[in-house]
Amino acid sequence: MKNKYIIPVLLLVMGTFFGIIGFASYIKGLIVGGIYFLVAVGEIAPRINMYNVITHRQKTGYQFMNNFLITLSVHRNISDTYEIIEKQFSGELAQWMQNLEGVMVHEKISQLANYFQIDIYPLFIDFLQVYEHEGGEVLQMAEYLLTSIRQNTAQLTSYDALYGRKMMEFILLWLMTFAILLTTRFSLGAMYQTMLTSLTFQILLGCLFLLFISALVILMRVMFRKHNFQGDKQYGKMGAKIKKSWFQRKKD
Amino acid sequence: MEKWEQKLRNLGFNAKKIKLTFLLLFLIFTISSILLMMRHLWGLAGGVFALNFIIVLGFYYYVRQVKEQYARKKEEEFANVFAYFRIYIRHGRNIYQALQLCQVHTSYTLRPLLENLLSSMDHDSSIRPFIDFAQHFDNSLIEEVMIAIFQMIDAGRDSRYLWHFNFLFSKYDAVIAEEKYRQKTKLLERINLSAMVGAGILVVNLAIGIMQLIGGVMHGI
Repeated sequence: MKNKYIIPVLLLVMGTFFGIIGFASYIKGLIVGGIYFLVAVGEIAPRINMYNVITHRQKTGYQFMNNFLITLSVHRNISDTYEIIEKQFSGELAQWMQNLEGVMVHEKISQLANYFQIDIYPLFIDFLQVYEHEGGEVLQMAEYLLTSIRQNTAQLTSYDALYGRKMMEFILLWLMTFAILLTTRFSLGAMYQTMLTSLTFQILLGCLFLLFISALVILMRVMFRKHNFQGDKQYGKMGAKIKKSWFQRKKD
Repeated sequence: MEKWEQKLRNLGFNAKKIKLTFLLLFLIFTISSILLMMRHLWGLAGGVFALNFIIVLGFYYYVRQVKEQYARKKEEEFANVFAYFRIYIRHGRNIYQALQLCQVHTSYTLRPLLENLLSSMDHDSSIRPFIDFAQHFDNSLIEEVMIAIFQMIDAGRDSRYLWHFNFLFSKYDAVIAEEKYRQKTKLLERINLSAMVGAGILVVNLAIGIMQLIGGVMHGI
């Protein structure tokens, strides 16, 4: 939740500071900062926040499936296994589960798909159904599922690392660009002030500030895609599938 | 129906909507450029008319992107659906039953292909339906996976073939995951280039400003 306020304020300060220096005008600097702040509040902070929530839920989901399968291989009963695992639920998940009080165990396990938002969760449910009807050796039957869980957890970590690395690169490269602006502003002095009287100069400077915020929004969109949290009104329906454009037919 | 129209339809586009939009835009830009020409604004008129070509090129690029996205989605879905297939086989279903059960997990991209495969299997027991199915994908590993599935029909539930299929499928799964990661890295790198473009804009801006100043000074002399 902290990100919700930290990033917009940081962008407001940054935009205002470089805007004032670039345009040599407090009003224009505040306009740049204000635009950055609004974009951060409306687009950037919610995406980062949602990404944190999603990855946390997915990691919890993989852990849940893994623990469930291992415990099931010992207890050989789905309800008993669920009761054991349920005791380990904490934080947001425990709170979320309060909505499902009084619901049957199998239904609770199915409903958890809406919370975890994991692609392979339906496979897990299918596996439990097959196991209940036909029995068998859990660890042997779930070999593929357990491998997938391991692979997906590793993938989540590697994507986290990639995003962190690329975000750092983005910040450093743009800081260098703004550093060029800063040095030219102070080294050229009066000459820079004269250049500022030209409309073309101001428009191109505006394009620079616009490019930064557009690139940041695109970066956020690529990194942190919005997900469809079914049954979770807090996040609304954003659609995790490929979004169809105006040119494309609406029916599937 | 024209070939290009059919291609667009296959990608989920509404060809009629596209035609109408382009016609409308063409008319708007052409009329605007004629009006500008009448006012002797030749440069601006040429620029507005050129927008027609820019839009067509832009749309061509957009369709290419959608096509790639569609192919990628189809492959990703194949990987997901055949993960179910593997579980159904492991649980003792035969190939036909497993494929039938897999249909539940498909969307509009893969469902028609799977339905086709099943109906072809009803009256053709050769490898043909499996090859035909694989031909809808660009990835040659899918063909290998489909051949392995056919071999499983041929050899019953021989564990060697099941192992072969599992091996191929795991390899395919890994390739897909790697490709996805590579694509994402490439995209992020491209976005990070924006800082270079920003630096370029700044340098060009300064160059123009300095040139204007020099020009002003010389004009003053």
